[in-house]
Amino acid sequence: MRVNYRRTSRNKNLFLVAVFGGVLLLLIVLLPILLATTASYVIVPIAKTKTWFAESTSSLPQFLRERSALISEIQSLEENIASASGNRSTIDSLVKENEELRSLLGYEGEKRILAGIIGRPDTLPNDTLMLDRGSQQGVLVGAPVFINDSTIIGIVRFVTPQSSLVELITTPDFETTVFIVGPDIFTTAVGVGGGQLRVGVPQGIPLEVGNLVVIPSVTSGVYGEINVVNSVPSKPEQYGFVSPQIPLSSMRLVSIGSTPVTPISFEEAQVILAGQRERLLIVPVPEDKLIEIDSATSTATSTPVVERMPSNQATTASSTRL
Amino acid sequence: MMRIVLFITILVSALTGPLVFAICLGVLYAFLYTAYELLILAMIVDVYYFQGEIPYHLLGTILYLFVLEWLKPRLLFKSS
Repeated sequence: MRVNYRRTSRNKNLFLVAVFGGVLLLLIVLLPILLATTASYVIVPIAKTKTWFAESTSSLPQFLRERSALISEIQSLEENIASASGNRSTIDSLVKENEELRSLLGYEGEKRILAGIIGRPDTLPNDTLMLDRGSQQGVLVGAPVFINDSTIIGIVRFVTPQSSLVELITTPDFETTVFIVGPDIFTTAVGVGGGQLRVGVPQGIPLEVGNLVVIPSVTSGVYGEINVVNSVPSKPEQYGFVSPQIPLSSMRLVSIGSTPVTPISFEEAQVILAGQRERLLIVPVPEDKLIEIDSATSTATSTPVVERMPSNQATTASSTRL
Repeated sequence: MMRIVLFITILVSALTGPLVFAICLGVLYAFLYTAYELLILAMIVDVYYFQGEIPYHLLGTILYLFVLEWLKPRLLFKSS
């Protein structure tokens, strides 16, 4: 009798798992957007809370983060030293945040949306970022994502009302057409994961560490520079590895373009690239700090100005516009 | 009560990491209870992070629960 009961109960459980699982699968197929939006109401608060604990400069999370460190320090340091350490940490994080905001807000091109990163590749699948801005703030699927005024790092893949997921261009097998400044060639860069992009070119092309890599399909699309070249003379190809100047793990804020990236022709890419190259070496120097001659004036009027400058200022002024 | 606390722990660790911890707890949870909730959690992960792809997490969880429900009476019989 008991065995029959167990068998019936087991069969009932198997049946319920099958039915419930089948219904969920059907819902995924029929209502993916609705389900994802609903899921975001569960995921986003949890991700935001985790980010708040991990990165906020508020008293409570800061205290929790440093608690274990403080416990070990208390044995050897007095309380005021520990307190000073906490203040220094707060100042450092505020200074860093200030620099990030200045970098992001200093951009004067198309309108962008400032977003905080609430999920990173260490907890998310592949090379994906989760941002705290969504369709309610105007984020669109396909919009480019930048880490400063010109470094593009990915494309918005999915948007919910209050969050968005960014597919990084370093996602494995993600292909991007790039232009390498130096050898001046177009090639295809392939994501290899871990925040790295790989460009492969035949031997003989002068690929060097420090060559800038530009993504010509985006108006302001400097990605980074080649930091490692893997070239074996006996092999027909060589590889350059590119990573953004700011590591993924230390990014906290990004800006999102207001318009999605659209496919462009090769001619359009060349026009964008021409503009890019003109701007690459220009630094926005304030009017009162910039010392230069007007192109219409004579050399005679400008010479005394340079002579009055200290040598280091003269070097800076002349190197800002090349 | 224990069931709720355990499920919330699995939910949070599955969404924020460490994932290995969530998987271990999920295995334990499914042994202790008839874990239909894990199906919902797997679906959440699939629809949000892997939209447009095959829902591997949900399919895997269904398969796991099937195997476990089939296995449970045998383990109980052995233990008794």
